[in-house]
Amino acid sequence: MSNVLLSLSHLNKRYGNYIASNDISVDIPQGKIFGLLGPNGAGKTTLIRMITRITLPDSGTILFNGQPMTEKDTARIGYMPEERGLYKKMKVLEQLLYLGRLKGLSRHDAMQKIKYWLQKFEIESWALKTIDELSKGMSQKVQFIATILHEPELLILDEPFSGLDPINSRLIEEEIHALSKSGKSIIFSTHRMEQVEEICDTIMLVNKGQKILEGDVQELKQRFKQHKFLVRYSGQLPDSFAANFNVVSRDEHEAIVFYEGADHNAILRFLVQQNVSVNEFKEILPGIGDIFIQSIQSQSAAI
Amino acid sequence: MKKILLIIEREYLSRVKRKSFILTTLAAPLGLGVLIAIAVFINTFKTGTKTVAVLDESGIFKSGTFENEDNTSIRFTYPEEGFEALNKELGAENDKPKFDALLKIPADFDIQDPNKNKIRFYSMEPPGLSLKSGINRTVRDAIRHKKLEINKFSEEQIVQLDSKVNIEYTNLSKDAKEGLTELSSIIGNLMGIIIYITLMVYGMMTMKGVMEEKNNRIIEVLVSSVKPFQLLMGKIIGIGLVGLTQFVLWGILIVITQIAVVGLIGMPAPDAMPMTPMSRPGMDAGEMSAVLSTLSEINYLPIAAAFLFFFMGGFFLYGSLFAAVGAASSSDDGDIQSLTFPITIPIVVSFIILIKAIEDPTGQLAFWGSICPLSSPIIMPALIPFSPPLWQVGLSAVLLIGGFLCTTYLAAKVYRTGILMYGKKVTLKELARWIMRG
Repeated sequence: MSNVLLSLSHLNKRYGNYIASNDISVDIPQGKIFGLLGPNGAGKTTLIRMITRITLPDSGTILFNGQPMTEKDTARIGYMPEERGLYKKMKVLEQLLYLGRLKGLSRHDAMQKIKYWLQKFEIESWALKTIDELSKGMSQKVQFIATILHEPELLILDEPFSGLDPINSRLIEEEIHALSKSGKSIIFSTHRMEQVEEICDTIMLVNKGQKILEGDVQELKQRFKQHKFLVRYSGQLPDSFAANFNVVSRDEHEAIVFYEGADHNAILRFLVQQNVSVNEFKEILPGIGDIFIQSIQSQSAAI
Repeated sequence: MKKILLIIEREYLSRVKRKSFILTTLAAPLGLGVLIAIAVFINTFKTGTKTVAVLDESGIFKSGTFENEDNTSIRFTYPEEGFEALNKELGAENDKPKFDALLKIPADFDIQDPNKNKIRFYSMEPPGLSLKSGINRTVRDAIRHKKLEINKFSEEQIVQLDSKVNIEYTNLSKDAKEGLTELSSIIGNLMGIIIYITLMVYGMMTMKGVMEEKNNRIIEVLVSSVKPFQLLMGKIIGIGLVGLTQFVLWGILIVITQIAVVGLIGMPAPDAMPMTPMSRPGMDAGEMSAVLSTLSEINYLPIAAAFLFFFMGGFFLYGSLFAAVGAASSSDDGDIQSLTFPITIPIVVSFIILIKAIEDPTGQLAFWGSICPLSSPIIMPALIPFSPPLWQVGLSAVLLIGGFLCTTYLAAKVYRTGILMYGKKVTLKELARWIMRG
């Protein structure tokens, strides 16, 4: 188990009658990409705001590197909100300098880092342009630089890919992985499941202010597997196959089999013995999206 | 603290560097000059000269008796024709009539009882107010003149009777200066008006700044680095400094023009102080130079100091309220208006009090207006030229500081909640709840 950077325990937050965070506890590991998932209005933003100390929890504690979090720690966090915000009339360079210095960088350090990132993202020529003059994708890049400029230990990205074209998405994604490899922790908040599987190491699912699930992405997939196997083959499937195995569905050259036994090679062995030419054999693992929907449904059912 | 300084720096520089700031700084004194020129122009504007034909059927008045003494807007002629002919000519559709109106003194006119058989005035268009009063005055003067003649007054005696009176007003308090009242009201008025306008302009600027941050969501990035209170203070101080800079630049500009004018013409520059529009027509050279000499007697330093202090105090007080409104409002315009209304009312009311306070600078209204923190930023600087007691200025200053501490405290609470609240229409009732709860 890797080190824990941020430890939330029993966080509660109410807005009037609305419970935005209901006793949420979770550990966010160091150097990993942590996915914060949930439908709109699930309480993701509230959780993020409590971590960034924009709002304080009604009760519960947040430990940062094992210590209760203080105002100072916010300088070690980089937060990119879902709704991007930059001063429209300010030049890119001035803007980055200002935001960097607000996070505690000296003017000199900030300038060097800005130069580095502008070069890396090949946008030096925009340094003296105002945000007004940039396209949406361009200002997203500037926003990303503003978030990571002060080399935060914890990076919180709220829907970082929304509004980005595939090329820039890839660029940002690579950067996220690189940062994670260099030991930074990343909280990646999204409601888009397909991105989660590609990017995240661990995830937490929230809904209606409550934690539904938490864990390693691969582990979760195992936990929620439905013991289904896909077989693709050429030719004909013998009738005896259906007699020996529980075939859930069947198409031409394709069948899905339910098999709970420990040794799923039995399916393969049987087919080989029957001289069926197998093209593909794999276990069907649920997507995070399926897990998500299933969990939320069971939560509502429980209520 | 370092962060507040950074915020102040950004708020300040981003505004001072703007073209609009440079333009208004340069153009405002120019605009003031233009305004004064327009006022002078309108003041001296002559409505087209009206020609009035006099038909004296009574034969009492000599030809040429009627003359308009203090303005030349009415010219009198004495045609030979009778009433019928003149009346016909007046009614004729003529491009260039010989006269615009006809003044008929009836044959049975009795100078001892001028209202028995009335003098009549005929015209095609209804006479304007100034024409009416001009005719009234001229006729009255002519009758008076005639009566004096009948009573055997000589021409010299009559001229003597009309001599103009100038009264010297002397204030007996120890640091009073002659001719000061008039100038003091002018300067006082000017101070009050400038603070009134700048409070509004800079207040709105603060509100817009907050709304910009809220609407483009940079606020979330900012409040994850600094406390909302720091942000609020940084913004208000930064914008206040912009205002201060503007005033100092204006001051420098005025001094430069003064020096330039003195250098060019070799006399104290009256146009450096905007007093020209107030100089009524009829203010003669003596009065003028008296005012000019008192101009140099006025001690500008306390006035300037009070002006800057009360501007800053007033701006902190109202600026924080405007910021709170900006934070509470969504981008909806109607929303903004209903929320700014309660703030602009005291400013406008203060402005109304200002006019009365200057008429009676030691009165009750002036006193309370200069003490109450909501109106003191506008009233107090306007009273400074009248040398109010020092304790009054001190009390006013202390209360103003207390006042703005109070409003910033309240505003900070609204601000903190408001800036992160989206898509919700906020009512005054809700604002009150935020204040109570925080």
